[in-house]
Amino acid sequence: MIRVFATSLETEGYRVFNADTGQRALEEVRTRNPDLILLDLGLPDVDGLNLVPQIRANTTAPIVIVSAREQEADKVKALDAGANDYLTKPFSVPELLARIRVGLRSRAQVGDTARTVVTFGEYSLDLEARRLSRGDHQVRLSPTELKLLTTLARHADEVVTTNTLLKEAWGSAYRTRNGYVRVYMHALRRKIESDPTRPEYLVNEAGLGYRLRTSHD
Amino acid sequence: MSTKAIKEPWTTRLPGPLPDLLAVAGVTVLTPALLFLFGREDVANVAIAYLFGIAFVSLRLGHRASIVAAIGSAITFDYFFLFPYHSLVISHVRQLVSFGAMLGTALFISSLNERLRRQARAARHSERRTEQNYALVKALAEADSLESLCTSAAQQLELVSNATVAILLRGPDDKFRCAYRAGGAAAVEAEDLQAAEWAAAHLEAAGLGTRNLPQATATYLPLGAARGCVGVVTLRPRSGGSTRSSLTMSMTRQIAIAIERMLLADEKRTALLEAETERIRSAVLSSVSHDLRAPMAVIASASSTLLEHGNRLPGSGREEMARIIHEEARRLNELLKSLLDITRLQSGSLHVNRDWESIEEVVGSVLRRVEARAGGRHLLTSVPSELPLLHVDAILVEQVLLNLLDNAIKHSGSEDPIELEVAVRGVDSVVVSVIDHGTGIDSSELTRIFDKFYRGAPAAGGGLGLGLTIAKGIVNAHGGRIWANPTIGGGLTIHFTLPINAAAAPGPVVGMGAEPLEGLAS
Repeated sequence: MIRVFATSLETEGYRVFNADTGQRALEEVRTRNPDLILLDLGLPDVDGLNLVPQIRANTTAPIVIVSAREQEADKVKALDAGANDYLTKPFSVPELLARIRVGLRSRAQVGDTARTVVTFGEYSLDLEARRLSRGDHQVRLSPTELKLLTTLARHADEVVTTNTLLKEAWGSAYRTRNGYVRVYMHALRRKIESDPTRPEYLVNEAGLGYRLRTSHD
Repeated sequence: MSTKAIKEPWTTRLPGPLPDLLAVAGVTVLTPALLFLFGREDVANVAIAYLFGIAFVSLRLGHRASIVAAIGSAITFDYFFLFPYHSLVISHVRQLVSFGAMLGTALFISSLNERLRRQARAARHSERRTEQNYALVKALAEADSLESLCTSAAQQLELVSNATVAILLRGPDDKFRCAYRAGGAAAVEAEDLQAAEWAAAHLEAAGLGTRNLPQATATYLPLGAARGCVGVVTLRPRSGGSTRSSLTMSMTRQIAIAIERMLLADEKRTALLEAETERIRSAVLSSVSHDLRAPMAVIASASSTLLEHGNRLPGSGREEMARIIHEEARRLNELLKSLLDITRLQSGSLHVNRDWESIEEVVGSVLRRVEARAGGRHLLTSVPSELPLLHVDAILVEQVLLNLLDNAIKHSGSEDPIELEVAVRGVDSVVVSVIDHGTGIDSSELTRIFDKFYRGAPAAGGGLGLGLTIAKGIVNAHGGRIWANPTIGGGLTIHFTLPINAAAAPGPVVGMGAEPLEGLAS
């Protein structure tokens, strides 16, 4: 797998370093200081899940986890532990490149260069003024809806777990009350999407959470 | 067949010397009557009258009484009607002839009657035997299982023998098990076992009333058939006396034959079933391995082509090979996924990870995935905006919808629209329907489409025929129902329900059309 994708990535102009064990991976992270990390959860020597917090401790670079289908619970844990996004095997090259682009873009947002306005379609969300507008007029959102949308926007194009959304909007005491999130996401979709059953922007990732799509990558 | 015609009159069964006394009484009464009627002149008629009386006595009072009547009548005849009167002396040869003739005829009539009586008795006995045999044969023929056969047989035996019956059958391990015992089948009693084993081994009756183990409390009759001894019948006499008779023996033989016949039928049925199962299993296996090998073969040859010709291939050719490999790999992936899913379902290790989910979201997610494969078909959706949250496994429900939509795509043309409808049904379930307007199927196949490996008569577009089976498994695991109907105007519609667990719905809202409560923000 590594051989196949290394070829692709290098063709796209990225420099690729790889490690086939968890130990080596940590070393590489420390020494190379990569801009993005692709982590396979099925590593031979160590549980990929345990690596996430360790890597996170060493770098702020985005971590995209790669896992087989059926490992939904692991994906959620990894995302909550600090990973940014995921890919499910088998994935295609375009999918891989898209994820990497998103990851690198969000990395560039950290700090002063963090953008204050996120646009998607005709909408634009001003994160500082806490306003959602469509063209000229404002779209009224409840405080909770705003919090949810803001969280999604800060991680634009990356998946945000339901747990994270719960924590941001209601506080960590509300863990495992996924129903709340569903209800409010439904309301948000009704306000923003032209067809709530086929959302363009507020997309849900089954078993994981939600994603705000700002581009059609 | 009525037995009234040859029923014996009760008067023949009078006890002790009563019949004889009655005979004597009869003669005594008859004589003065005759004297009065005929006088001493009409000797011939008197003799006939006496004979008539004797015949009557023979019919009514039995053989011995009629002998008494015969002798009594002869003596009386001689005394009162033959010269010299009032004396037993026979003065003339003619009178001797009369006397002898009367006695002889009387005895003859008497013995004829007796013989007739005996034959009637024998006929009655024979008739009863036939009825009993017929009842047994009928009971044996009507039995539809080994157990009911033994029960009927034992009941018939109990009717004819004066005993409590138990039937022990011999299993393939040569051990006995109790197939019938009055008052409910139970284990084989230890005391019976030894005698039963002996009877079975020697194919001879044992126990009470026989030479073998005569001190036993019951008689043991082996059920011998062509394959050997299939069991033993135990007869425990109810009120003393013998339980064995030729009737019981012949019934036992018939029972043995019937048991063997039943065993043979069972064995044949099992053998046929096993052969059929094996046939289906190997057919499925070869079909599945073929379906898996086909894409593999294509990938192997396409990649081999790329390797072999490399740069000598024009760009379009290389692209074509790569595209083919990609496509077949995707197909293989789908097949393997189906197989894995069905294996997990069947082994019961499918983990249903329930949470409060929005059907609207599940539909949206599925539509995104399917639109690529729909090949330009119109996917019309009808999802109400007010839907309760459902306590389901979103990924699994997505799988169900995906399989149903895939099925719809496979069986309809690119111009046919596919509809997806969601509706609330009553207060306890949500119904999701996938409607296609394609070729549809026969009404007789509507339930079979959910069978494993069912692919429909013209096997449409790849796949192992597991999609609907997996969908059904998932729906059932959620406590819902799935079924198919023909679409009006042609095509197939599949509905499935998911239960609403309203009582356990999460906090703020039950339905999702209400305005959210803003006070909940922390």
